[in-house]
Amino acid sequence: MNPPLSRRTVLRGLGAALSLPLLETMGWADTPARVAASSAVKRICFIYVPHGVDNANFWPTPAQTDLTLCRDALPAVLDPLARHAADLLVLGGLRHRMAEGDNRAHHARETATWLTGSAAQSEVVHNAVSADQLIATRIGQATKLPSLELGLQAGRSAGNCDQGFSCAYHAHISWRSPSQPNPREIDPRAVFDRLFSSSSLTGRNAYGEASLNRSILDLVGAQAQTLARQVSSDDRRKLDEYLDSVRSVEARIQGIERKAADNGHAGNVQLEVPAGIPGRFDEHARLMLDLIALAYQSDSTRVSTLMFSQAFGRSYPEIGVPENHHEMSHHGHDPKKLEKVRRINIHHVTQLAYFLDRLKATRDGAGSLLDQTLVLYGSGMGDGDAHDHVNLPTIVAGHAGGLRTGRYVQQCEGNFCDLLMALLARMDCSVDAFGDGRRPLPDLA
Amino acid sequence: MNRSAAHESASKSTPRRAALRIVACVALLGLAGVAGAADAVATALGERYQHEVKPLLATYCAGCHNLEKHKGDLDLGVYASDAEALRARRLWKQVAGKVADGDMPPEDEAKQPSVDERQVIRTWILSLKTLDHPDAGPTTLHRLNRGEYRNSIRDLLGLDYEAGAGFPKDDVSDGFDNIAETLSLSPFLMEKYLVAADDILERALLADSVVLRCGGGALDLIQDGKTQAGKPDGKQRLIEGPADLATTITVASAGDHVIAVRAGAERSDGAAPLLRIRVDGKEVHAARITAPTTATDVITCTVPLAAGGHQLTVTIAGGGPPGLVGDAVVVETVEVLRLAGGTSPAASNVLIATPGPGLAKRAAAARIAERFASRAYRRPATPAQLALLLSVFDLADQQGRSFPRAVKEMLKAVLVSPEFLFRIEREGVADHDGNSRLDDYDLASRMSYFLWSGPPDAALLELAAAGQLHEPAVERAQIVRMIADARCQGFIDNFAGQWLLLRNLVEPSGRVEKHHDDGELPDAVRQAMVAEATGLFGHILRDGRGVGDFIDPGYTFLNQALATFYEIPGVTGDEMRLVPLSDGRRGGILTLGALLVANSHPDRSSPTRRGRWIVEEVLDKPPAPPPPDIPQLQFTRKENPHATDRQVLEIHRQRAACAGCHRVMDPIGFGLENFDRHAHWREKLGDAPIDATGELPGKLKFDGPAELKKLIAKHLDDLARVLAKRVLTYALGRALQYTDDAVLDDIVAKAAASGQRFDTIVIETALSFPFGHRRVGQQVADAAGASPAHTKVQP
Repeated sequence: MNPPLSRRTVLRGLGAALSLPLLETMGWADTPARVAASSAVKRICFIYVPHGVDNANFWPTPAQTDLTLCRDALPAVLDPLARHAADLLVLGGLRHRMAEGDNRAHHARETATWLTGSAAQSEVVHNAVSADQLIATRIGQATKLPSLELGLQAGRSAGNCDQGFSCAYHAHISWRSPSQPNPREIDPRAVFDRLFSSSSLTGRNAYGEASLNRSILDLVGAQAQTLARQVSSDDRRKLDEYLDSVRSVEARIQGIERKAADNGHAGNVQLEVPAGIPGRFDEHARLMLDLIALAYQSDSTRVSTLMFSQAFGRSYPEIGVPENHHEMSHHGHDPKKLEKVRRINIHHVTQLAYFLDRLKATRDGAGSLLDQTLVLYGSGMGDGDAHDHVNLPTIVAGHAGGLRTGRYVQQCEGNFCDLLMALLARMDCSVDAFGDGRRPLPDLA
Repeated sequence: MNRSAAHESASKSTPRRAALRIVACVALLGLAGVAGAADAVATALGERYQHEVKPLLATYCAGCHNLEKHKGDLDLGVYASDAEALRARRLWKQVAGKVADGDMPPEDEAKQPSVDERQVIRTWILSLKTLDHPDAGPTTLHRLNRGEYRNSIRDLLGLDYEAGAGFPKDDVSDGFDNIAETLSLSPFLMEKYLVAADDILERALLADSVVLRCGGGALDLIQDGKTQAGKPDGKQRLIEGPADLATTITVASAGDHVIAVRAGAERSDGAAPLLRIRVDGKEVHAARITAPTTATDVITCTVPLAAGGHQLTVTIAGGGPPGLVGDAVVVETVEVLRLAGGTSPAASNVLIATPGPGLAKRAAAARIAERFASRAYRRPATPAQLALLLSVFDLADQQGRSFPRAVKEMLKAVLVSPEFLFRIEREGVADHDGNSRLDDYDLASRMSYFLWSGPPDAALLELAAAGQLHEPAVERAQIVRMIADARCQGFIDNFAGQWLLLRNLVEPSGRVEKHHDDGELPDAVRQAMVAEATGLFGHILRDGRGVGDFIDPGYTFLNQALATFYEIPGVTGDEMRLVPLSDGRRGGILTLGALLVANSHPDRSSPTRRGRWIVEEVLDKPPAPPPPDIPQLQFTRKENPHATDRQVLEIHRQRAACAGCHRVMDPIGFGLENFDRHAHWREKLGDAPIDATGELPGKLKFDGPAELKKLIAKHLDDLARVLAKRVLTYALGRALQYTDDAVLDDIVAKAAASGQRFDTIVIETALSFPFGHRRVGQQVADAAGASPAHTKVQP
């Protein structure tokens, strides 16, 4: 008898038969749904900034509908993107009604609602599956990592965050399930190791021994399923999270092994990643964006999220803003503070422009990586001073799935969830409804 | 409520006592009578509602809180029937607060109830509590947070594993990072757990093993009398013909060691080459290399080795008869592993069995598994769990791993099992209220993760095994022992670290405005400020001090760095110590350096933040959230260009929307204006002398921190209640709910009876009903929350 193997077989059988909605809907089954290597592989990246923007210097004029014709006359915040004018859409008039909720916890919701379209609840952590995770479910299992969640700032460790709302809402835009936010990696070195040197998870160790990790996960997962049948329903929710995670790591190990069997990664991965977290925002942001570009290039993942900062803000001494972003965002129309907000906005958008440079410069099939990528850049608040969630600053860049780029749409025909539906559709992940969205936003085509 | 004396209370109000008498009667009746007696109580309360309370509500409240006006989203008219009124207990509680504090009816309302009438409403509402059933509250599987994981590893393996570096930060809810509902488990974290388990076991159990990689240049090749020094080129090497591989190893401590040689051979004839292992020239083992070079295998032997240097030689002899050539051998690694014991006493407690004559490998592994899993799972491991672990051992063994390495794989399965990563509590049999008493092992874990942020020790587990831990006297004695134990620092650091915002001072994320502080608030001072706070907290807890010491103790904890910063002479050296103070400037939580810094803006002190913290965490009056449309301070400033910060705030405060809270918060914070954003004492702000006058609710005026403390010291009941709320939240790892109010009442009453000792609050929390019970299935008292008038406005 060979217990591990038979157990694994049993586990596979159970995975299909048991009613574990999380496992099923997330699609982490062992079926190797490989995408044919030659067919176009699409990628998507979500970049989040808090507190809206200095609206007076973000939006093009109503006449500037064709961005390619006014590259030299773009508003100050968009100016760093001038060279990419033909590759992007600036979308106006988008509202996130679910973030308005009952007029509480605007900072919790500007973050947690952005990609979920769900109103964060107090008392318990309850949100919804985010758009990036829906996509990862569809296309994530073909890669080493189904999705990559990155940040540039750790969460807060003491004190309350927002009127009785869990700090989990502030810290995460990517939600695997309503109660399960995806933690962000903030250390570039750790991201690199996770993406490109997976010997700690699988392969042979320093003593030449083949890793047993997958077998171990198989075994403990099987036993946990037995356990799940014995505990109360409340406890079972948490055990389901455990099982889901175990299966996911198993699938990841399997993916790595498969890659290794296919003779390694696509392309030669070369990047100097220093140890430790850079102190400067822009250095840190660029390293992370480099890593995302590399991950796309090597097809190690196709879905990523990056939070430039969080609602409690940070300072940017490198551009002469030693003050906290959040405090500046409550500018009360003080020109001095607005000037600082503008500088921060420009600084953020400059990093986006850098990322688009990277994607453009990387060959992918017949064209560039940007041709097969969508980037959504924006904030869950319109005006940080007013705490509103209308006219959200929103930029979509890239060409995956077909967009008519190079335009400014002053008033989109739909809301923010409709935009997410349109992006989902372009990632071959159409949904009938999302949050308060009812149909894919027509303005992209 | 204490489970040894449910519903017992030391409340002094007369109506409460009357109500308690009723409950006492209920308790005396047999089970059969319970329902009937409870009905009688409900009927009596219903009648009081009908005849005493409802008329008052109709007179004073219904003018606004009716179906049409619905002021405050509230219609008191819906409670027509007594039964409905009795169900809405959570709502009545809020009403009681408003009426008793005089907030309602509003001041400008002509019709005001008399003091007696207010009292009638209030006492009726308080009596409603007698209808409540005890409820242990929702229980959710509790994942170990970063600190708990670290301490669990420390106790299990004697290794301080700074998990924090690689694990994602646990999210905070309700002020703490140990709230079960919020502690989720993502694939990302699972991956970290898996990698950490490997790393931890390697370091804890195999750290002093010697690994020689042949290709890594660690072994010299001696062939035909010529020595070829090992080259660190990292490549595998074929050795042709007879040869010696030699090196000198250093053994860290004496004991049985496994020498494992991973080798394979390419063979020209049927016989396998012979491999001999020699230590200090003496042969200890000989075996034939049967594995091919493409799938090497391990040849092992066990030898006692003394500590210190040894000459290790691996001799390869040709396999065939002399004359035949062509045997080529690959030696990948030579490893020397300590078999038993470990790098620490804790590790020695893991590797407790050694295979040898009379004890098969598998039997030795089984012994190790049982001991380790039972400690890691905090209760005896089950046969099914052990079978799983042994199947991992078998797998590793079949792969040809040496015994210690196979054991390591087996123990890795323990460290990624749900039984280790979560606190899984056994479901008990429900009583008539839907609660069940915790199993003794689960109680031991709740106690230890509450008071130590770590696993139970042998003493607790023994009492659990004997089924005695839940006995009130036994449990109390254990709690007292645990508070005195050094591991209680886990509670002090984690609770105080979050309640007093200390973590924001030392963690990078709390220092986003770092550039401001460079050279101004040195790390040594920051750390000493944190130590000052935990020193005070620990002293009050462990020395049985009253909560008054949180406010005005007349002493604080200092070392030289902090004393110099505070300008207090006569303190030298790095270690923190209790220093008596001559004035009221320092000492107590209101003037903790750490808290003053945490409640400042990056560039200036903040009277509002400081005042708000005191209102919320000392006076137990959480301010309402700011109104949605915040009139900007900046406008006020613009309109009054020559005003000082203080004057701007005063003008701002007069605006109606802000007044309610800022009227209370700001004047308290003003009393602390002598402390700048770094908690450094200042007499002037610019050229103007500091005005540290302020006011507490009730028009109590004061000047400076010393007078503020004297006034706040009169509010120790409030502070005790805040502490009870926070400690109970932390201990249960969940948000508090309506039925916990009765629990808090009980804890606070016992604290008051003990002279407001803080340790009483901690001890009584651990002895409280919800701490020792689990809710089983759906629970009855939920109905208490029903309040038809309180519908949530959802988009």
